[in-house]
Amino acid sequence: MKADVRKTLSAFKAPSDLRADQYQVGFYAIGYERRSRYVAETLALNTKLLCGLEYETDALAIRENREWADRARVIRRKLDDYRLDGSGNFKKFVDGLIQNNTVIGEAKTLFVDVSSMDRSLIARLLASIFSVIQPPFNLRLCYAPGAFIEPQYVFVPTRECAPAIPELAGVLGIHQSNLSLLLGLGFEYGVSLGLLELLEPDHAVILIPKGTDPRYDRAVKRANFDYDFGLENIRLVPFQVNQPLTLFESIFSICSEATISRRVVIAPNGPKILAALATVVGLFHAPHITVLRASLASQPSGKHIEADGDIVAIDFRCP
Amino acid sequence: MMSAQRHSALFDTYNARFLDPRAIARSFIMPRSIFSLLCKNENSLLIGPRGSGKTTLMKMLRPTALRAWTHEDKKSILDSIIFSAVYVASDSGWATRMALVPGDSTEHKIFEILQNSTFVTYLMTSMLDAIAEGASINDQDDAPLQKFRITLNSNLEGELAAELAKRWLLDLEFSSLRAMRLALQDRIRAIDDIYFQIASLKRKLQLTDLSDHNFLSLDLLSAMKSFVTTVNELCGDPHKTWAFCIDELEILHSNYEMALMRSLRSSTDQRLRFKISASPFSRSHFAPDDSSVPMGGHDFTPITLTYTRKHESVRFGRQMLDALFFEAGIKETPAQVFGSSRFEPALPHDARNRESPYTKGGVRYSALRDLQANDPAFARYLRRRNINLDLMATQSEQDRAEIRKLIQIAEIRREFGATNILRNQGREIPRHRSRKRVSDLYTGAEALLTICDGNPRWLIGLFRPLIDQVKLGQQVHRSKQARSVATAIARFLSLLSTIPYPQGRHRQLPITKVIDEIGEYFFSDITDREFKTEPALSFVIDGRVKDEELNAIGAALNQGAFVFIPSQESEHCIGDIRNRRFRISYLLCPRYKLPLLYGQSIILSKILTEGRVNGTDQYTLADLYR
Repeated sequence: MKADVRKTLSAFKAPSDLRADQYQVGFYAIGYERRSRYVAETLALNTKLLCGLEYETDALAIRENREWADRARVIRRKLDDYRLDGSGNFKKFVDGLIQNNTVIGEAKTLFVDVSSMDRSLIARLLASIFSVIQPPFNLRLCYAPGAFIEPQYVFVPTRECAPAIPELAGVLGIHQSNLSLLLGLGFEYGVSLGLLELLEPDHAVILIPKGTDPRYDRAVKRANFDYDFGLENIRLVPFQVNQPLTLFESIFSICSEATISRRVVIAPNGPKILAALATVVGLFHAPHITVLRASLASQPSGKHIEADGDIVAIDFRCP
Repeated sequence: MMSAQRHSALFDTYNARFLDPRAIARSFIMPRSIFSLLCKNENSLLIGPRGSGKTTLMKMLRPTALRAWTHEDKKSILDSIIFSAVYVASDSGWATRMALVPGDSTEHKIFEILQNSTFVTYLMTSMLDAIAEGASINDQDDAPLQKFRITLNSNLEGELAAELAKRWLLDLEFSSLRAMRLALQDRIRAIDDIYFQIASLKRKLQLTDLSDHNFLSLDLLSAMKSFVTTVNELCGDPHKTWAFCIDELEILHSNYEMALMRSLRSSTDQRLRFKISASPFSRSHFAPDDSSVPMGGHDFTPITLTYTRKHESVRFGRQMLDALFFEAGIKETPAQVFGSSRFEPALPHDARNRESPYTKGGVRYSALRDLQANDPAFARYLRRRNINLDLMATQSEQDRAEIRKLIQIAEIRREFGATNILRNQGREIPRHRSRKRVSDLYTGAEALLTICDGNPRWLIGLFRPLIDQVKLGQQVHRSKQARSVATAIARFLSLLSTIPYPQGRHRQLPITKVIDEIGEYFFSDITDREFKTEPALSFVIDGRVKDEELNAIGAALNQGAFVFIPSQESEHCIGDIRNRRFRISYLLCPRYKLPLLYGQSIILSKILTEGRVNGTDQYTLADLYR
């Protein structure tokens, strides 16, 4: 994936804009959050084929999400071994869907709703699409922010910390090369500290998500000890969740500059739109940037996560 | 864009990994006894948790650092060093990659080989750095530095490069050290290429496919020996000693971790020394009947960077604090700025009446009297031991020794014991049992220094925000000190909470739940119905602790949550932690209302069996001091 996607970007914010287009294929996750089907529901009438990537879980809203998928004639695919995709089956599946539902030489319009996908799935899906799709195309990344629920501020153990997918492991670099870390903030302060401890970057950019609900902003700040990481070599960079274009350009420019002389690691905790954009930047600069995923030993909170009604989106076009 | 706060740092930029040796030398606070040991012409094993200063000490052995260092003892230290150091940093790049593939897969085996080859390549780069450092020493440098000097002309450099390239299987276009560096960078790229062939499924590799890459078979010790032989012979100094300073052993693959540990024993080559730094716990350790186990004190000198004795950590901490005060331009002493501590055995005389704290009305006398009046167990203890508090002031320090030893326990019982209750409308409410408040007991210069446990990173993190306030002309009241301690604890616990502790087959709790359990157990032993001068404040990891539990406890130990207590001076803790004795880090003691002592020991499984490690509770922000 070496197309100059940066020059072909445009941004969409409101669902009404998104419904003005027709999509040949739309990908989303069938998960336990209610919001996992929100984008698919919104765009169902505009989409020739919906593909639901289905997690194996019985939690919360998974049943109703499956039922809706069946009613909407969604192609359901159970998820297994997608992070490594050692057999290449996931990529073949994505390739097949795109080839069967688009016409060679004509513009392809796809959407990917990352709202309820884990970071490895986001990375695997985007890596697969970018490796099989032929221009011209317009890939639209969508994200439905969750309606605010006061978080439990729990501290959960980390199961593992690894590249989101093997292709995004980054290069080793020369011995003792300096390291820049772009760290997205979620509600897991301990995980952020752990990454700073593990990687020992000589420079870190902390990306602070800002939503439209002030309660969310307050909760992120509280969960992260008022952004006090006890470090001097960090830069706090707030970003608006509903302005993905600005966020993408920001990450892109930071990484483009940093990769010249340093190793760059992105740990996109926090909103999934950040993870999706970090993945695109990582794929664009592959193999030079590491995109990490911290896997937590957490359980669903027990509360339904609804979409807040907004959909943020960003287009990646290649003429 | 906001700027990050400069202060409130527990894990500050006091991280020597990326610092130039010269920068390290300029701010180096020498722990004299430790650094002297490390400088000896012996194999050394430097053991300490994160932030304990291992990297700083290792980098200080480099000629560049020693050259930039200014210290009154510099000459004597330089005279004692007879080796040239090769500093080799480990790299965590492979640690995250290894997590991608199952342990029994072909890919995993290939990754292991690539990981080891990466380290060997980095080692080679470090050896070239060492040559460059030696070559940078010139006639202007002090006489004691001349022993590190390597005189290179272009012929000799060419010969050296050609010889080393042959032994290290490098193809050079020109025989120069620069060309060697570039070739080593190419080798790293070649390793990455193999990795990405696997990662991107371009090619399904088998172990036999690796035979195309001869360099993958180069091993660590051969690379070291070829370097030493070549450099020594070509530079006309055949007996020159080189110390390979391998930093952060635990980051390496277990095969190399074990091989390097064995090298401490097996190396009979007098030109080679090993200085290895490691965390106290490792998942890979020697079998009890393994005859290749290196012996501490015989094959190597163990140097532990945690302090069993409080006065040693406080002394080192005071040196660092003095340097921070000096840097900030503060002329007062730490005791003047932060006050004294109620835990100090030799409390200064009362400022108002200049009398001993043990005289009637004195601070110590009043506290003990108060406890005697309210705590029947303490009163019984005094009677049993025939201790008359009224006579304390007239006793010699020697006669007062027993009282001095129990002061911390007495203060804890007085402050947090069952007798310290608030009687309100017929209800009795224990005071100060909230974990969220740090008691004034843990404030004052001595207590603050003690709870830092001699860990430079903690010390800087705790004191720097307080020093910032002093610089602004503000008083650093006890409440501010307590808040700073609370913040440091909260941050440390949130970091520890990422360590999973197995609970049943499928559940994992944060290790902090276990630490809470241990802390609560100790607290209950102190505030028991009987007054104990030696309550249980340390634990021994016994055979009933399962391996998975041991791994979690070991990970917390490596972060500094626990501190090893040797049963004798020569005992050290590396690798296996079973049957070893530990205490909770003093940094965490304010959370559990514990004295800054290590008391008697108890077996860990007893604590965990009797305790109430709660499998359903989660660890939340509300559990911390916020």
